[in-house]
Amino acid sequence: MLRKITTSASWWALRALPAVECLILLVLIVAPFFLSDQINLITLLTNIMILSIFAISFDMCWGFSGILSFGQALFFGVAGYVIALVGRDLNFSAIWGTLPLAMAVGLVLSFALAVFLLLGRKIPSPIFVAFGTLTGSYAAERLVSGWQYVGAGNGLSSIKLLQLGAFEFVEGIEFYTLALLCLVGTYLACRFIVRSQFGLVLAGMRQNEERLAFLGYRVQLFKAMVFSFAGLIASLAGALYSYHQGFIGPGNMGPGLSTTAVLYCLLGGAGTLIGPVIGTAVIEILNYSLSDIDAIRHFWPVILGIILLVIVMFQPAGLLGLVVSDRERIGAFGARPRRSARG
Amino acid sequence: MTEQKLGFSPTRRRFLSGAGALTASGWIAGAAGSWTLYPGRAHAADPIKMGIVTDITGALAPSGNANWQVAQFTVEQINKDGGVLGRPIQLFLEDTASDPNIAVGNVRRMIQEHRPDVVLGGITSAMRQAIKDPIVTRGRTLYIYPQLYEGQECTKDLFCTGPTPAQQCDKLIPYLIKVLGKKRFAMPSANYVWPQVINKYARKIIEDNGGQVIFEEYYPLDQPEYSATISKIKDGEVDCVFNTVIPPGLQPFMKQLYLSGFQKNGGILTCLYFDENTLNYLPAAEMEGLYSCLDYFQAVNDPFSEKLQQEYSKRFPGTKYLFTAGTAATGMYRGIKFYEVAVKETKGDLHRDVVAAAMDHAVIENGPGGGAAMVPGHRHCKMNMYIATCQLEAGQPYYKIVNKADMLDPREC
Amino acid sequence: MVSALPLLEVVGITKVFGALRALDGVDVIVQPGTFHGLIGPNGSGKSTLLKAIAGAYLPTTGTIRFGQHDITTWAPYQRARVGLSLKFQVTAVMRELSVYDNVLLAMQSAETTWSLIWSRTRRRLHAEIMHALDRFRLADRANDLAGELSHGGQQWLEIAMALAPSPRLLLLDEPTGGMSPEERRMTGELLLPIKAERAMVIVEHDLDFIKNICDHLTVLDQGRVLCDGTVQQIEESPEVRRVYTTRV
Repeated sequence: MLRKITTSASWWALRALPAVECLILLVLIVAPFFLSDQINLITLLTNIMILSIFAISFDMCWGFSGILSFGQALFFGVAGYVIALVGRDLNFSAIWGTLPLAMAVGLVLSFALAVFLLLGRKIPSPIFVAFGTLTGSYAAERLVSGWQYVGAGNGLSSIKLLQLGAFEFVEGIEFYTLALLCLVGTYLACRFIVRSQFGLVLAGMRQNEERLAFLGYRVQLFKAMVFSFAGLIASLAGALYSYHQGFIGPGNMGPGLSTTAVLYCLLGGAGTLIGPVIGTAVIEILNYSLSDIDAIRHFWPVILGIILLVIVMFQPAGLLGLVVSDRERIGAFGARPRRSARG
Repeated sequence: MTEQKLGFSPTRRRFLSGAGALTASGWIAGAAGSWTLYPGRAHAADPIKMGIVTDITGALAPSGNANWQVAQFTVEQINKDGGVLGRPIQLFLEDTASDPNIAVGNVRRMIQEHRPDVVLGGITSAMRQAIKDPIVTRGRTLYIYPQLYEGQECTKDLFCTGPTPAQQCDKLIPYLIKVLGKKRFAMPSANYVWPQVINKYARKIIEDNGGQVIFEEYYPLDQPEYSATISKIKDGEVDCVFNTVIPPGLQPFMKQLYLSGFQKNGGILTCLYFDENTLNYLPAAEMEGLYSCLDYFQAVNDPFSEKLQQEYSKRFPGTKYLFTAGTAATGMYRGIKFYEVAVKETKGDLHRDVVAAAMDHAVIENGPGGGAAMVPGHRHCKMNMYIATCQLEAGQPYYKIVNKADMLDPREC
Repeated sequence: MVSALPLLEVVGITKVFGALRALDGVDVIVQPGTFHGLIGPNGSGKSTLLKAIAGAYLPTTGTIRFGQHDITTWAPYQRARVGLSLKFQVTAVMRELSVYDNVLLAMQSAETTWSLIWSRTRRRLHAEIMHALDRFRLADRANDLAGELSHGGQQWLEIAMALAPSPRLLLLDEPTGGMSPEERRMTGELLLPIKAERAMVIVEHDLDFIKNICDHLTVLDQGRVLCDGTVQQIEESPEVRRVYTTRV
């Protein structure tokens, strides 16, 4: 039975994803009104949105392009440090300057790493890329831990508050709104790209890279482009995080956080953009609720590891895979041809 | 004690060491990690919310727990006497886990959830730097930092009740050079802000008094191996080690130094945060003969200090977390008492600006080691400083006071 | 009339895999507008030669010229961009994309990145895609997943994809593999009209199929060219007949 049957039941099968996206957007827009004075929960949601942007950067790499990057935290952390230093040394924290600066830094750094890892003479294996990014992230963490100018092991604190004109952003509804706008903006940009003809190339790359080369595509270049864009996104998240938290340390640059991005994405469902948002929310809410219990706090990394293992072994499509079919996740890119009447 | 209200919150609670003892004394576990002591049904008035943020777990746990116990002790005393203008103090505890990265999130959450009227705590300067932003800038809360440190903390609404470099070094170093005749100094240090800044200050005093710094080195906080340092000490004929290494690197360093025979051969070890509580970090043998300069030692025998120690021992019998100065516990006591004095002056107005203005010139008549007085406009306080040396009596360390300076000026900000 | 410059010129190609000499000094010339068949018993190196031309393998020695380019060391994507197109032996369609999307993917490969991001050519290519699908009798399966097609259907899709970028030279590796006789016949019908537009090198086992559509044949045996000439010449060659009866 190879014919696809277009019945009303399968109408839903191709509409689940937009429904989930709309639902989550609605929740995020409406939540502040219900939580008006519970700043701690507003802060939690803001944090979730910022980390979702970070998780989306990993999804662009892995879920859409088959690049297993274990180093997204490198761009996240570097951006965080850059804006902390700009605030400390240049006394500058205006939003029109620092967020674009952070994104530019991320773009340049990730492109440099892409040139080294992806655009060499020999086509790199996925393992090489994974280890290369992991090493980059680890090396950066160690470097920063010993460098006094950036606070060494203690990181940088008392980061100059993000400014819009005379207004200074602290935790609260304003930062929530900013984070939401950034998340929606990033999401739409990514969605546009992966649903375009460019995205079709990425879809092809996921399935059969070799074939694409014979069609005339320079596959490694496409990967480098996606990797650079993902670096830019991760940096945006890092800058927002730094401003929101008021603190950035070597741990925000290293393999620990890089692997957390992997977990956020895989738990929610890779290759969907909304999956990473769901995964981030689930993990961070769990973290928040359980962190009071000391016994659990000590074992939290172990718990995360077990979750990751279970997902990879039993539900590779993540939580979203429970409601969204594979067909919908991969999507159709061409304009739908006019169909003759068929059952 | 007035009658206690006993109860258990059905929501989450922190399982702290000694949690059983807490509940037995009437502390009620509240939601999300707070412990509340209501000194009796009669005091149903609006409590004053005080947040304590300190290292209950991690490398600095012995000091953090001392802080927490002294905070409870002090607050219980205040509440027993009717509270502050009839209002009890309600304590919220947040564990900073000796890790600034974790602490930032935890402290922010505590402030957002409970909105305390004042926060006391932080031990290392790295911790203070990390958490002062969520407390003072973003949380807009009054912050009292109770620990000895490197100075230069002039943030508005941040009060320091621990000794400053001027209070610790100005008398100690000349004593080491002139009285003990030690002129060749080594500065093994942990790589963070407190050692870096205080070494600069100490170096100047050493050189001004005719001493010499043979070497000044910085190590990662968790460095386990110090043979190169020990060699340098031997080769440089160092006779005084001015130590600013902290746990977890402290323990291996002290052990290696002791085993090298440094103290046996007449070398003097000096460290600005060593006190009786250091026994929780080091074996007694390694502490023998060291010199320290702090605002209090248990050997200080004025009636108030002695009574305070006795009551503390009664409240926490057999505890290993001692009421001492190097752990910030005395600063904690001082900070809580300053706050009490300030609120009494504002007649119960808890707004930060008002309390800060009152605290700016607050004076406490009595405390461990003596009273203390805030220097108006500087947010640091004058206090008595003692130089002491550690001697062993039946295997137990005991600090003998060799010098006392009255109400030294902190000379900060 | 044969033009002076051959479309494809393979000279002295040798390919060694460890101890195996898959190709040993092979020369092939393909003229524009011809269908050139590569035949030979199993293991004679036909597929290896095709892959060497396409760029899947780099030859150990020898040169390959395509038009005026020396493409011997070029990467596959570079060869594709000058008009060389390969259809794999094992079907390599994107199984989880629709038939329509597979062809679109093949057809848009010449676009710039900027054009792809903004999907500038989506509408324009629609007509061409439907035309290609029509040609290969796949128009009514346009929205089905490529993986849902029958084996024959997937082969046709592959051919359609290989043709999509309008290559000057089409390389087909066993296009009728696994097909029924009826499907084979249809494949021949689908391929013949292409001769007017472009040249083709086709590797095949089915001699009848080859005879019907090719003009020129090269016979390989154990990595060497055994015989090269028109279909009629090859058919009449006693060596070829011997090879085919003794080696299967």
